[in-house]
Amino acid sequence: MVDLLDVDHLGIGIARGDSTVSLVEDVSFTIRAGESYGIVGESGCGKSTTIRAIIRLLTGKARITQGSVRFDGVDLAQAKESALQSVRGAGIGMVFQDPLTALNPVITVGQQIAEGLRYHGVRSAPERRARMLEAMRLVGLPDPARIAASYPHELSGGQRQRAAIAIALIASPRLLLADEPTTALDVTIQAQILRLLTDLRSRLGMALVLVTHDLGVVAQTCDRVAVMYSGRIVEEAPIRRIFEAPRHPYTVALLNSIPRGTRAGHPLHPIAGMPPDPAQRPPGCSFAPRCPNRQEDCEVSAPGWTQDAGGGGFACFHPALATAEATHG
Amino acid sequence: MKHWPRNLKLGLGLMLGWILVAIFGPMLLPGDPTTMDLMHSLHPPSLAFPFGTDNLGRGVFTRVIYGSRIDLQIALFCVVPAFVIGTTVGMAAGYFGKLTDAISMRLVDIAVAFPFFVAVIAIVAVLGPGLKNMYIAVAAVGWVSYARITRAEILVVKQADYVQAARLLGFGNTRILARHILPNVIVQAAVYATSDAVLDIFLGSSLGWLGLGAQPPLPEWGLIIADGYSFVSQAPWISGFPGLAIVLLAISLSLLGDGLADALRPELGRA
Amino acid sequence: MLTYILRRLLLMIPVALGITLAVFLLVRLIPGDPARAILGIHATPALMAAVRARLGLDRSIGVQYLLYLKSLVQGDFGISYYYGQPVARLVLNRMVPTLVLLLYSTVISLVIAVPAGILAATQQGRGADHVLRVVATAGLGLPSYWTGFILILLLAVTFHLFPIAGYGNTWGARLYNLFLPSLTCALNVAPLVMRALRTSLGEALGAGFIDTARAKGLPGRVVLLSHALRVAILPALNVLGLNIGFLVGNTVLVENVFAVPGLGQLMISSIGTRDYPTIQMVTLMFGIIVVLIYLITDLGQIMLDPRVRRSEIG
Repeated sequence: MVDLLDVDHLGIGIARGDSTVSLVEDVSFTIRAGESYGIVGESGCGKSTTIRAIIRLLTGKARITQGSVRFDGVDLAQAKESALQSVRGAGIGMVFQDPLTALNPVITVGQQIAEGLRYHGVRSAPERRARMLEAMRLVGLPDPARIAASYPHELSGGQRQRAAIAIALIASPRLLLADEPTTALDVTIQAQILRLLTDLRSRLGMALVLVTHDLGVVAQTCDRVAVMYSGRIVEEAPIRRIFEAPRHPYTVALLNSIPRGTRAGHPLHPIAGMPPDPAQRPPGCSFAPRCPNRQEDCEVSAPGWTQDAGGGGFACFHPALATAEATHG
Repeated sequence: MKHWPRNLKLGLGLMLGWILVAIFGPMLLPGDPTTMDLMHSLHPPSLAFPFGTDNLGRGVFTRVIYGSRIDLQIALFCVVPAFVIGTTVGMAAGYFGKLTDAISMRLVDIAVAFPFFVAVIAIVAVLGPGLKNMYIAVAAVGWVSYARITRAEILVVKQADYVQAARLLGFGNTRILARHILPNVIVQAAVYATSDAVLDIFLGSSLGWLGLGAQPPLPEWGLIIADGYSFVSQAPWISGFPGLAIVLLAISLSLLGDGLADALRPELGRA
Repeated sequence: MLTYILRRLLLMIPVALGITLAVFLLVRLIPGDPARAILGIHATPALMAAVRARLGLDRSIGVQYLLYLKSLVQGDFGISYYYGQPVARLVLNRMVPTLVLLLYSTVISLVIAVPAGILAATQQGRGADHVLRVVATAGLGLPSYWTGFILILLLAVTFHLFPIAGYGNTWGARLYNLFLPSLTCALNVAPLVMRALRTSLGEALGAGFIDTARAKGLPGRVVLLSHALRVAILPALNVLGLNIGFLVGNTVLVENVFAVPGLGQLMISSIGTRDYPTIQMVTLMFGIIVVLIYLITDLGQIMLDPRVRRSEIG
């Protein structure tokens, strides 16, 4: 398979006063055509910032400070605004967290879905409308003609998120970025939306990058997963390996904090402590203050990247054993 | 003081300056604002007459400085009665509710249907021109805004825990109003009063300009501007400088008001 | 929609009655004997009696008000003491210039405030924003009779671009003649609208739907104008509607500055001539204009904002 997206040593910072606080440091990953990739971490770890940076939709004063984001051989980190506009929507689509605020309240849903096509070369209005209705059927919106004429406030949360997905994929992007697409939804709707995303990915053959704080969501949806902590990727692996043999102590801790209702008596282990303030990260490993495996060297320098045999890797001096079933029972 | 917003410090400073000018300016100036001197009529600005002279040879600078007394007085005499009447009505309406509320709010509905300016002019029209009648007219319609603000604020504060607690402890209405509600409400009304003062200076000078407010030979700014109208091309300084004075006073008050609002916002949030 | 408009019109009845009551009471404020005040000291007893009878001064105040209402309903607004013709005809003739002035200055305020608001919101915290904020504060402090003076001085006296005063006989001439008066009014209102737009557009630009719009690949101009502005303009228009009383007040001044033969000029000249029936009806008309504009603002809000449309009409 071919690399569709190549994020290389990406750094993102935000100016605060005279200095720059680094939000994301040295993040690298590649997405192959058609694959599904998850990015997991606690809120504030930089996962949303990372995928927003891919199409340069950073909020406020955040800026890409180093590295590259190659899509189709073009470095989006350096690209001009006009080049970005042709990639946004047509090359890379994006779905956001909160369907309540993601849609414009005073424009009809249909218009919002069809609108993007106009700027991606579809000149004919009837064709735009036909594709809009098709996209709406594809995302499972019932009675598309009626919903197309509705305003967002007339739709349910799930319907709104489906409409947002239709907006993201109407111009047939090869990569869909989804930033916590189910967090703001009811549990039953969450499952539906995840199933829809998985289904659309295989039907349309596009790649998916899914950002979430929920390892369970990743387990259902993704082929590979990266775990982020305090602005860095601390572990990356195929999905099975992450669940069966997590190497980074943070990944282990994250797995232990998932409630598993089926196993009676299995205790829940929330991770003690708080992630560091990005402005005051410890000199060594950022996870060291909360890490059960911490040793002296952890506090001196940040661990480098260790490649493992199964196509993944981790950044830790004292990782869990490769066959560490026992760590999470 | 260090944490005061910049616009508040600037506004306070400028307003203090205006008050000093109004009090001491006339004492320090050698000339008189009403004495005519036809030998020196329509002189352009010079060292002797910094703002030039008008058609009757009166120094425009002297008149503008004396005028600051009148226009500041207009702001004060327009704001204070409206403030007192409005907050009282608003508190009564908001606190006692029911009939008091219904009656006073219908009065408010009617009063807001008329543009403030039109209503004042109409009342002055029947009472007769002059500053005193203008103050009466402003008091008659100006209280409405204060009543609305106060009532809205009371309705919020009334539900606050500390007011409910005071009521449970059996404190009387007067005491609850005076000790617990009044301070909160006054703050809101005071912020509004600064923008109201701008409006009143506007109104007062406009009425002066129309010949319905201050009467000649008082050196009220609007009146000076009206005097200069006939000399637009010959002597633009007559109308120009008093206009600048109004703008500067209005900006000073606006800054003070914005600054007050900024400074009190966190506190209002807590209340 | 129609039922909503009807309901709103019904709700206006008590306000309209209140307005007539206020206008009725206005003339009772005349100190001393109204008939004497109206007619002056040289009036003959016969004339005085006629005026008293007309005002119904010999009856109770309640009856007087009902009589007043009855004459209003019959379209009888009295005879102008000064012009000697029915006040209704006089006032209706003067309505048009005032309404044109109102509409014209509203358009000019928007033409000034919308681009300025966009500039301030997109440059928030930077140079252009600070400059615009200072200009807006100054604009709010400009008395319109003085702004009018400066504009006359600059554009009429110095550069001869516009006439000093007047109205005109053709619509073309009127639009030309009313440009300076309308601009003068607009300079007071535009800062209010600009400030409101700066705030609402600033909020809209940070909203989630802007991310969605940008992620579609829309050009920045389209994101700004057809997504952010479309949402942000609504509160700004509302501010404009709420300040219509202020704008109407300004037209009174501006009509007198530029000799526009509108209601405001009629009102001030009638004060000079103690023409109370005319003052009374002009005041009434101003009240009605303002209430109608409030109604239009409300309906406009409903037409433009689908969220309000739904909650109001159900």
